[in-house]
Amino acid sequence: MTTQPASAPASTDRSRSLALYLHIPFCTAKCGYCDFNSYEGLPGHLVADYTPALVREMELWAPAAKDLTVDTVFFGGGTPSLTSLDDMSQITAAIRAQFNISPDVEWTLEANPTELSREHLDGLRALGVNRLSMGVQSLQPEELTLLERLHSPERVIEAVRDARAAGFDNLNLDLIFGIMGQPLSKWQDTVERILELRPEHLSCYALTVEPGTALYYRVAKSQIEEPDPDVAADQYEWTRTRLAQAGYEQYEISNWALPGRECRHNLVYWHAEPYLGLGAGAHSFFLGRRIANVDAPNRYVEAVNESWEERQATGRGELRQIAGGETPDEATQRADAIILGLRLMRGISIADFTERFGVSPDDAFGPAIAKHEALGLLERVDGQLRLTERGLLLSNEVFVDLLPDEDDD
Amino acid sequence: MEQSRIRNFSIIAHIDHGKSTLADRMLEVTGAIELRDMREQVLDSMDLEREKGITIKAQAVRMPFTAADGNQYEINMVDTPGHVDFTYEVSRALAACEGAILVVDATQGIQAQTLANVYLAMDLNLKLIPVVNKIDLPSAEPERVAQELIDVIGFDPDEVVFASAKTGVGVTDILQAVVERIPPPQGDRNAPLRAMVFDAKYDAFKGVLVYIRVLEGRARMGERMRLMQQSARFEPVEVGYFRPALQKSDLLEAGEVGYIATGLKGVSQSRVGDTLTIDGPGGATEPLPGYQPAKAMVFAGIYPTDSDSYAALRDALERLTLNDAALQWEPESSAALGFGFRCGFLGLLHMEIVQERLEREFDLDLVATAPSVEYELTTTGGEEIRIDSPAELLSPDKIAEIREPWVRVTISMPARYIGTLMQLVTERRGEFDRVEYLDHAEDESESRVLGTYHLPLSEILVEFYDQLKSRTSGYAAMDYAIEGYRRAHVSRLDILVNGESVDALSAIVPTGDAGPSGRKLALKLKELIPRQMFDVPIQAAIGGKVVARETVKALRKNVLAKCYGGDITRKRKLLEKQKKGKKRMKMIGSVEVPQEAFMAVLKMRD
Repeated sequence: MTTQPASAPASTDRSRSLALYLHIPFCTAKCGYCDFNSYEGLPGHLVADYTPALVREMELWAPAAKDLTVDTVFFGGGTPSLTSLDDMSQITAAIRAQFNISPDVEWTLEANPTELSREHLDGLRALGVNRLSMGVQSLQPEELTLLERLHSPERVIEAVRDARAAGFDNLNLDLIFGIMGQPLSKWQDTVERILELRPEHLSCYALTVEPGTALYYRVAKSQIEEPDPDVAADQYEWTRTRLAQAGYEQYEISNWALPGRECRHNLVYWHAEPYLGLGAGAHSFFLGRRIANVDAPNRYVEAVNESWEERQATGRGELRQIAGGETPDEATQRADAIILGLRLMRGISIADFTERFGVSPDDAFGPAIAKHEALGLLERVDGQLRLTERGLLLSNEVFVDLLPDEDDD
Repeated sequence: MEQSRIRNFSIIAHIDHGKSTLADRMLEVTGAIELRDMREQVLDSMDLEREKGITIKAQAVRMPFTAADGNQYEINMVDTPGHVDFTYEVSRALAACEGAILVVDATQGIQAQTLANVYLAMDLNLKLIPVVNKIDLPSAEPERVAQELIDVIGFDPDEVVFASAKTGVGVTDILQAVVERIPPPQGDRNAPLRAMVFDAKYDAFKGVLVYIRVLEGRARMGERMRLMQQSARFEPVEVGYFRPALQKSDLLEAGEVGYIATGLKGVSQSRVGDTLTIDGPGGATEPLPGYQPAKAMVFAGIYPTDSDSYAALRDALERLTLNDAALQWEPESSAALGFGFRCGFLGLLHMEIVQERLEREFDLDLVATAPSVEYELTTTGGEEIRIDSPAELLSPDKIAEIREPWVRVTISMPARYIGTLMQLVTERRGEFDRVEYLDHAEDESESRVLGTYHLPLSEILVEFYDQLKSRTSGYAAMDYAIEGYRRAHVSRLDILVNGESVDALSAIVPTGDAGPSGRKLALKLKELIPRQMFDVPIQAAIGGKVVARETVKALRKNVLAKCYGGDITRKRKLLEKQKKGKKRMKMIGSVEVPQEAFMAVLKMRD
């Protein structure tokens, strides 16, 4: 249990693989809907200190990962495309030095179309980045303004064209639907124009007004209306049909890909396989533990440096950048596995789940599964348990009933 | 202490007029409490009391005071609960005293409820000391308010004491006035013991503590005692007085205020107003006058959200009853809500306090049904019955007559709101009685008046107070007293959720208004019941005939957004929050109904 944690998958091959996530918390401007760990306007020296800290954090973790092969690398943010090519080359060199990298590694970088130059794209490609995930969100100027995105629709088209020219043949575009005041027709227009760009992958997320964001306060103060969930549902249903027609396969609640172009990195999360997160506020599921780094970039840099210096001096050193963690108990592992697995269109394999936990999904979650099968939100097909078409947009209703019971509230 | 050196007084004040602050200041000035033990509202020991700024339980404290004549006096302050629901409790606290301080806010003037308590005190022949408080505030009008006291209650101009409890100005003058003006107690210390209980509290170690004023005779340790009305007998565990902490003294004599720890298990055996005497030949034969058994005016069902908590709710009610003799309850079951309790309360505030204490102190998730009054029914067969729940209302063909309780409501306000009030009262089936002027301002509309109205009690339960406050911009204050029963024309409105009749959502409404009420209630429920996995029809019906229908449309979207950097713990927490919200809802068939829906009938007029 402790040595081979929740990762134990069907194929032994995957048990030796690792996904690497690197968090870049900097942005030119924080978007109104964003509640991620990202910051605008941080002092220059902090941005400069961040890269060496990331490199040192890799050195701290490397011994624990020495027997593993990195299959996917993902730079998330924040805005990783803001990091200079100099810094990127230091970081990628360190990754290659500290970890075993698979020859067919999927190497993704999240990019913002605003400041993405052709030169920068060429540089990234040369460093080994082979997949770009671009935050487009919308191609309607008024929606981009509402979301406080700085780019224009034209900039998106240019950035995609430049990325293609730089040799990126694996491209994801992020889109947001269910925006307040957004009629179905506007969403359809955005999707149609995106399809003309033929990205290999599309992520379509419903806008969530998260507490603490600028958008949340504007809604709370009635400056803008709340998103209409029924319009969002109409948009989602139309999207599923339209993207299928265009040859995209939906493999997760919010993700579509051309055949063979699923995001391998995100599949690691949904398969509850191990990943190591580096950087401020990064999350890991590693050695059976779920771990979170401190959020504030300055505290992260200090903590990593202290740990690294202690390690240099004494050969030991606790990982001070870790803010908290948990070792999920058996019940939580089962719940995580089924909740994450059900996000995938194929759902979970009943046989694999039973083999992994020694108990079938029905024995572990019987009444909840029966209830949602009766409600038409879950179904069984070919030994798989999965969400129905209707269950996709109502997945939380299913998931809350799969959470482990808490007796201590 | 000999009786000539004892003074017993109470404080009459409207909420927020500074009673608790004045009490705090007196404790400081007399040194009854060390400064380091001082905190705000020191006599209000419950969290709820501090939060709401009101006194729920009565309290008492003994203070030593050296008066201008150089003599040391023993001054007992008996603090009273400050709300209309507790009028009887207030009257007993007043009956424990020879005088009262009437505190009026210099920025506000006399309020209806204060006046009601002044009349209570006058009926009991208490000497009143008028105090105009908060004279330090920029908006204070001490002279105008003093004139109001002179005109309305008939004080002499030189009787009025000006003070600021906040700054301490005038506090010693008040204490001096207490010594000079309030007569000392005069009970015969050699007569058989008669002490009046003005409050009771449960103590886990000493059993029930009765708060008493000894009117005649002596109460001492070692003598068996009994409570005459409730016939409870006990040997005292402890005898003492308040400082305000309990202070053992082993003896209380006629004229004194203190407590007796009875060892009894439960305050239901020690109703406020009861008479304490010696058990046996040395005891009194006649109880003191003025006792009234507790009478609940408002009734509601209280159910655990989770039926597994039924036993925990029963235990909690038992424990609360140890401290609250006015709370009545008996088991009740509802087809919709399962097993719970029908509870009787003194009024709406009392209901609210009980519900909050159950949820807070006992960590229970509860569903309370809309409060109801008690109706009197004469059946066609000539039988007389009383009902306090819509579910018990017989079908119209079995009812010969139905009667409901009415109240006399007094409202103090600036004269410009007389018309507004008239409208509010008429909307609620009420009647105008009279308006009296409390003062005469230059601008007639600014004069303060006291309006008297008659309304069905059920009508003032339904957001009457909130409406009164909002329509008069907060300038009006009210008091009410039960008058008796009058004939009523009411029907039961039934609610069907998803095709099933839900007894706990039924309401008794005026027959003439039943159709519109049904439509409003169905609409309100549509707002309050969240969208489910399927369409939920809501119907209102009278006598089996559907008068309104609304539909809560099926939920289509409840999905998590982007999962950032593999932060699964956080997503789980979001789901857990949703789960907690669902747990607080009551399952009616397969429909999740939130607690607020059961109070929808109260919100219908929005």
